[in-house]
Amino acid sequence: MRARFGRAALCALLVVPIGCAQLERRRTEEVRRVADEVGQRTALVFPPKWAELGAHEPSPQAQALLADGLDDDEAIRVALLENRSIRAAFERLGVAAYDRVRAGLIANPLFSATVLLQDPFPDVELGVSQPLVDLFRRSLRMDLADVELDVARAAVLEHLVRVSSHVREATLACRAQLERARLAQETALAAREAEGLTIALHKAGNVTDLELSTRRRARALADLDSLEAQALVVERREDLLALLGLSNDPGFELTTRLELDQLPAAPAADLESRVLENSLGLAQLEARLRGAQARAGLPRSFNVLGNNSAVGIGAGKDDVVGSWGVGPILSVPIPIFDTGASMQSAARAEALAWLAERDGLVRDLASTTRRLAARQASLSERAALARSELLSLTRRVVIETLQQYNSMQIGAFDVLHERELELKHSRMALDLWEDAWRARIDLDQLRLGARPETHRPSRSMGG
Amino acid sequence: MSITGSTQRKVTMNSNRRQLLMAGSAVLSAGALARQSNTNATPAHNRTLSRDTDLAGLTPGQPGVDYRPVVTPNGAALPFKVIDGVKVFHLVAEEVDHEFARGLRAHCYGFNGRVHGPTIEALEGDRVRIYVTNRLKVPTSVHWHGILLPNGMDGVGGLTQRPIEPGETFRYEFPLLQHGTYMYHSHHDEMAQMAMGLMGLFVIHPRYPQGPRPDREYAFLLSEWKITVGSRRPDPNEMGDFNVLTLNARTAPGTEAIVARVGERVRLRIGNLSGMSHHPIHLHGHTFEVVATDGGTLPDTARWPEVTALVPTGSTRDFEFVADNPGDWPLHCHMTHHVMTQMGHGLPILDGVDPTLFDAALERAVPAYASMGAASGDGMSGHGQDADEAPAMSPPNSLAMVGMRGPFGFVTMGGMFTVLKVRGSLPEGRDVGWYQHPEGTVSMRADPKDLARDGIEL
Repeated sequence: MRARFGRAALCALLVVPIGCAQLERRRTEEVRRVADEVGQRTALVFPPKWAELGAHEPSPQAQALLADGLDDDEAIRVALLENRSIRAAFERLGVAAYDRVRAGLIANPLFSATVLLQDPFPDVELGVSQPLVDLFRRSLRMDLADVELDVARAAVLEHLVRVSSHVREATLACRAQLERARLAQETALAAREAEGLTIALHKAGNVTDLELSTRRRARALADLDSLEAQALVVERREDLLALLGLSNDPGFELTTRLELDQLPAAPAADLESRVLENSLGLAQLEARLRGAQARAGLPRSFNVLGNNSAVGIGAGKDDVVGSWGVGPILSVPIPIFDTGASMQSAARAEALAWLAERDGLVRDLASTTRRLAARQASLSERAALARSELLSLTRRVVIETLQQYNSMQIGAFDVLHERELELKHSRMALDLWEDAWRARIDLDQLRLGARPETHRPSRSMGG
Repeated sequence: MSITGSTQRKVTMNSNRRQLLMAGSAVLSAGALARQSNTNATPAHNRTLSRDTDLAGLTPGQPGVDYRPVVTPNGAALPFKVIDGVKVFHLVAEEVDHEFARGLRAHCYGFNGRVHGPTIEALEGDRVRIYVTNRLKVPTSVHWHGILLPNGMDGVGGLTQRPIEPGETFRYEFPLLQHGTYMYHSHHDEMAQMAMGLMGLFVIHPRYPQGPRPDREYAFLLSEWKITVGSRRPDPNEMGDFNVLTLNARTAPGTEAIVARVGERVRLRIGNLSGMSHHPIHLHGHTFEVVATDGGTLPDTARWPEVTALVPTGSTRDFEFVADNPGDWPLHCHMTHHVMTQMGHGLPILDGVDPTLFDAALERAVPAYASMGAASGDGMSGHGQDADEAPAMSPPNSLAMVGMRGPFGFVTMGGMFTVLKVRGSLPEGRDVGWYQHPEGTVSMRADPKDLARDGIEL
């Protein structure tokens, strides 16, 4: 008997590290699986090696990327390396992966020992039992853990897609804001020149105090606008740094050029079906539905038996004759109350709830796809119109105003005024361009599986 | 007509109208009209024919034979033919793409493809029949300004005739009982149509000239236009801010010079059909006399030497002088704004300010800035010169406010301006060029020796 216990202990000691290795492999597999899916969905090579938690400096990989400046894809790679929320999401995936391993294990047998001290011999009862229902529930438990793992995997993917999309949007916002600030500076310059000329005219006695004050006020407004634009440059960069997961600004440059002539192409015709096919929100809901359906399909007796049912073997020493006796042990709940029915009903109700949510999300995704596609189309059309007509006409107006100035029909202030209008229209065109690309980024995010926020304010629409 | 009309003539005209009605004919026969008209109490100072002359017995005047035709600089004479003793003219009112000077064209109204219409010339006593075809898109009529004629031929739309609708041709017929410088113009919606250029000169030579006969006659019709810089159509609604002032519908530097040989007697027939402006016409280097108005020849006792004479709107004046001073002499309206073209308003006053500040400011604020505005510091002269050298920097279809190239640089004149070139001899068919000044007769920078001699301290 002692030798048998010794062997069992040895086996247990060997099983623990083997189990640990399995756990790590399982987690690694899950990470790899998600990484592959990220690659499939985003065409990005997902970095397998994380930055060191708590490190102040970016990882060497990130530093290498940052050294030469970042285009949009490189910025996303840095975020995947450094963004702690992505790391956290992956760790949560690990939790689910470990839970899945645990779900596949049978509960350990229960050893019990009872010693009653009495004359002439103590009464000793030993028992070994195995939880009965656990054996039958293993398959369900694994299924449910698979559900949780699927949900976790989808959630991680969704987070990754969302962060990637936000990085793209943040780089876009940085570039656009830099251009906006440049335009604001140009406007302020024109206003300052007008003010300077008015001061000279005022000194010569050629214009009134009112004209001077009005011109100075216009310059002050232009300066305020320019300062705000400069401040927003800093804010947009901080937004990007936060998404990249950088604790300070290493001073990298964004290398993607501001191609104001380029506008997003029209979305593919099968976009709606691809959105539904790729939706990670739907994947999560369907996994949860699957789990609830599995629970609802369990025989009621499983629920009645509960977790306390067990079978086993018991051994006891007779206190009179002093000999040992061996016999089976069975412990089951007494089915006075039908707890199985309510648990089954609860599972069914939960399944119905998930089903309803899934149907709702299907409708919402279809609507969101159409809304974003229409938004992108409209913004692209307006941005193209602003670029091709508004800006070229505005430039033409400036040139023709110059001609009128040259023919002494109008004064320098008219030219400067038209220049300010040209810059204002350039900003308007820039806003439309940025919003068109934001709509495209939203649409891409949706296509890759993560539903974007569709009611965000936009500059071109008064946001 | 009201100025010279007497009660007697009014009665006669009424009689004419009655006779017209009685005859049931739209127009009196030539003989009947001649007889009736012959009885008019036309004042003697604009006719050389006796009131008793039978006009029907007169032969139509032939240019070059019975009279020396006038020259209408930048213009033309309306051709005619003689049918049964009547001079027949044909005017066609139509839209014309007219050039005011190189660089400025506009869609105007004119006659026979010209703006202004060609000059009608005839001889006192001629009977004229003038067909007017309306090829405009609007009704019109033609008034024979200053000419004594039957009321129904006066051409006042709605008053003496119904307007000539687009596509219609009307006939005007009347004897010329007078001589002098007259005009014709639209008298239907005349504010708009005259603003668009629907006008011309009507010169009637005396049948029996009296006094010294001019060697050269030039005819000018003054008018004014509003053509917004860069646009291509005169604004017929303008009431005061006319910006293109013209001699025969041309503005300097698009005006043709006139010439005279030293010692020649020159007559300038100048009419004014400007919308709102009178024009004091000034001739350099000579004195002249106003020898006639559209009311008739002035008696010698009513003339006096002048260098500037006002030609009021709606009037004509004949100037005469002997070209006895060789050189290139400006002939222009002396209203300073009338010798500028497309003058701008509302500009900041730059006096007292360094004008280069403006270009510097614009260069900093406006990319690809190219200015010829205030940089020269020579105001409109510099502007005109720059515009001449770099027309692309100005609005298309526009003129500099002033300026044309001259022998000593840029001439800071524009608008209602031309040059009288008086020479000892005039080569036939050749541009006489700029005047070659005898040595020592051109003003130039003062010699310090002269300044010292004359006690001028600087």
